[in-house]
Amino acid sequence: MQDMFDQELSGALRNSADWQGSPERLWGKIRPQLSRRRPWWMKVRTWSVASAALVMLLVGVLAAPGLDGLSGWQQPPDVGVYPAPPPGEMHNPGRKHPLVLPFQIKVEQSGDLLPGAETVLKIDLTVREGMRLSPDVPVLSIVRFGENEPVCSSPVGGLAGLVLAAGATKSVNATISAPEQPGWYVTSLKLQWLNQGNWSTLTVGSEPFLVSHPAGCMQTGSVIPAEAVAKAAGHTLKVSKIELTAGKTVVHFTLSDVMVPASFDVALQTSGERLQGLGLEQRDAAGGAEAVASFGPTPADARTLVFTLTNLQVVGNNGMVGSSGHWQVGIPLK
Amino acid sequence: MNEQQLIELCLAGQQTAMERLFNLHVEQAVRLAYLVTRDWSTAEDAVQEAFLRAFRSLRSLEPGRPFKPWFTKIVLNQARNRYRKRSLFAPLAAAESIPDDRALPDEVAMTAERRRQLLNQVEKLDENHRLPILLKYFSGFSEAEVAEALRLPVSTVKSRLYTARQRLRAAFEVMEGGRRNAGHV
Repeated sequence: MQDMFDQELSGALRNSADWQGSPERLWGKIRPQLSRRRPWWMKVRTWSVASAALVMLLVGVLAAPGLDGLSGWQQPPDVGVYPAPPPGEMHNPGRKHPLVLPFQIKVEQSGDLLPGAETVLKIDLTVREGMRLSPDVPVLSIVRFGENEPVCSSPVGGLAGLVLAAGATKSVNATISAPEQPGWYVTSLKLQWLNQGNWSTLTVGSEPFLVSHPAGCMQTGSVIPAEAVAKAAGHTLKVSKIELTAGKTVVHFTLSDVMVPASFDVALQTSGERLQGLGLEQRDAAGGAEAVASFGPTPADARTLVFTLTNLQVVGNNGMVGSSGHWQVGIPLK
Repeated sequence: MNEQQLIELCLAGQQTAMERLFNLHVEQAVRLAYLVTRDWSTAEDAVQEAFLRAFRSLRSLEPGRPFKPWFTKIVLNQARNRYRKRSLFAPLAAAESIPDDRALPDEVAMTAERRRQLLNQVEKLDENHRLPILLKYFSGFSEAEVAEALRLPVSTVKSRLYTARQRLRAAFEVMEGGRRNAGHV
């Protein structure tokens, strides 16, 4: 319970600063900066949360070995055009709780995916509320992960004009040809559905899947660098381990004296070629931050990997630190 | 729509949700930043940057946790950084917001004067003791929240709050005593 003095102190402080400024003006300064391009891995997280809130799309083909560590993914160009439910009907989107979803879509495919190979994607559409799809035929697109243009698109039969009762499931198969170029891809399926008398677009994306590289053209194994350290701006970057598989290159690293990393960019190059960024997991650790960054696989002829960290923005022991410093370490592979 | 739903929409990139969250917290944030920086322009700059950083790192806010303590921490860091960079020292502007006491009835004038004196005493506290006081008595934080915001053990926060209150109370009582004595003359 507050005594008189506490009340006096609270009153003095709360009446001491009467802001005469304009919230609208301040928001006007902030808003344009919100749409600036963000690091790819931040987009990844935004997408993953958005998609979790409204759709669940699982790609069975992703059961391929080596994918367990990947948790965040960049969205294909259309993903994110989800119809927002009316505020009054919004289901609890809590990230730790079971979601009540308007739809569930499941795509299943087993086995490795080779370049150009025909494969069947099984799409299970389960609705928890009644739903009517547009008579237009939905289109399934395949997009190279991290890029915008679809490499191929194909119509998906059996869904146009469909009316589903709550709880009903509709399963359809879509035959696609895997892209000719090995690498990481995602699928996106665009559906038109009747939402309170209007057609709304729902675009759902799969998690990334790998079109395999030819056997032996990528390095595999594990590298524990003897000394891979870079110091700048009071922080020390240390690469502790690199895992190489046919599908990806995983870099384990730490950054000292960082309490809460707000954002940073990482890149991995070999012989001047930049490997594709796939995902980033990070966590706070004693005295710094630990993170695991995933990239595309390392070519068999690569002799060195160059890992770079830039654009660091953190909450440190002494407050927020803006973009400063450039950390780069080279790791010999042989 | 509750705060968690608003945060989810912000995470999904909805700017209208961000604006709502901004409107809910901006005034308190600017006022806190002002109490730290003693300059409105600097305070607004700090809060502008704090919101940008908050929206960009919103995913680091644990699900279910309230926005305000987490955001206040960012505001505080921004304000402290800017305050430390300022070479000029501006006093807490109690007089700006409290009307001239010569135009007020005696009781109100005395309240205004007491508050002004109290703010002067808060201003004299060193940062280690002033920030916990601001967070507890201006932002309404619990001791645990103050500890989290300042990255200090709760025991340290308790100790600093106790010390700060003792100093303020002593100064306040001297002030009050002086006023009473003056009244009896």
